[in-house]
Amino acid sequence: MSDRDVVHLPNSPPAPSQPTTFEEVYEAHFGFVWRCVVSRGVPRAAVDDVVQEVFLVVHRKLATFEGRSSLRTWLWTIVRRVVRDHLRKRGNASEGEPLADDQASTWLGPAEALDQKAAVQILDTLLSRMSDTQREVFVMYEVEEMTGGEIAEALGVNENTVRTRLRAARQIFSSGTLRQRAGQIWGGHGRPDES
Amino acid sequence: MNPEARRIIELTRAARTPNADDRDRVRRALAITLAATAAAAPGVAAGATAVKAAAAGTAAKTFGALGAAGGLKLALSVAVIASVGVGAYWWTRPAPAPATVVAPMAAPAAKAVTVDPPVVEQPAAAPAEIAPDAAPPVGSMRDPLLAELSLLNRAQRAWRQGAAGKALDLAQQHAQRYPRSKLALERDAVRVFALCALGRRHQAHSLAIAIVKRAPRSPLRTSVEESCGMR
Repeated sequence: MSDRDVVHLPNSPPAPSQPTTFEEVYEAHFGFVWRCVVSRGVPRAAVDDVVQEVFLVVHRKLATFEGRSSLRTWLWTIVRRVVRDHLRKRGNASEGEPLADDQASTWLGPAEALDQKAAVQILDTLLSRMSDTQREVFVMYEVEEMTGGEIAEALGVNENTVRTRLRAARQIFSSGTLRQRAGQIWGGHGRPDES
Repeated sequence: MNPEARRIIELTRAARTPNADDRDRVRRALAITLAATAAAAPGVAAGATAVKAAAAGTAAKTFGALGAAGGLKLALSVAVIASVGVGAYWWTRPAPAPATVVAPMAAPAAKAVTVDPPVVEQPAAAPAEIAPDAAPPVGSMRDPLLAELSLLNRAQRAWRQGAAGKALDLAQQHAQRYPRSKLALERDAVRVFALCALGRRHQAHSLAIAIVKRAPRSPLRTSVEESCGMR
């Protein structure tokens, strides 16, 4: 926990220019919406449907988007609502559900896909050690690549709160990955008493 | 964070990042859904219909809005799904009239074209103004893909408006004119819903089974499964 004290990712500019047409929004934010949907526990088989539903809402409401919040914050609130409705409808899943096995990118080679799958499992294991609020901020910032300002706006808290939660979450995550390296998490590669 | 932690996050992010296929697959499905939605939207008058045409070609071409007459809001966009290696499509945002023209996007070779016509954007109440079903003369459409989609939209619209028999006829016309259509799944789904509406459950069932077998991962599946054809 030493690389970043401020809550801004280099590749997440705090004030991106706002696309004005639906097509621009789709092009610029498809990846963001997809990542958010996957991160929130939607099973792989349903991701297409949920992402499509999100963009249908965007299409319907874009004309009324006034730019008072960042577009990504607006998108995130839509994602959250659509995912919540979807999971409720399913009735057998909840947000934060671990990634399904088949959710590693399919365009990678087997070894890379295995790496991704293992990483996702580790991340999900460590997320389960965080509080709900820590986990939410951590995923929004680290996986969904939202800025501190966007997170604060989306959650209705100030940036200091975001920073505090993120710091705590990172400590949990960092220490967990160190233990993982020591073989505590990889069930097939070591036992807890070996660290 | 330590490098190990950073690497896990990077790998996770990569695992949760869509690839080009994901982007295009959803885009195709969305384009059709938006077209179907717009076609069923209340307040659509023929005079206000802006039909945008996509021409065959390996790259998209730029088109202008052809209509939005009478000061009415644009409520219809038509998506054209490319056949293999051909075509372009686009969509519009629901902007105030006059229509906002959005630059077209090149569509890759079409694969599994999916759409979910029965569950999208159903008007909450009976539309005050039903979209007239006056079909644009197919012959007047220079683009065969546009003509095909228009016919399918008419079938969907007829079904939505309770004219199940007409929907079935239009779907049958579609099947005859376009036996190898990329939109065969969507057409057959309309048939299922229309057959259900007509009480022809056995026929709906056979067709529904076939659809689910042909496209087990299609968003259509849920709607088909919820129809009388699977009950």
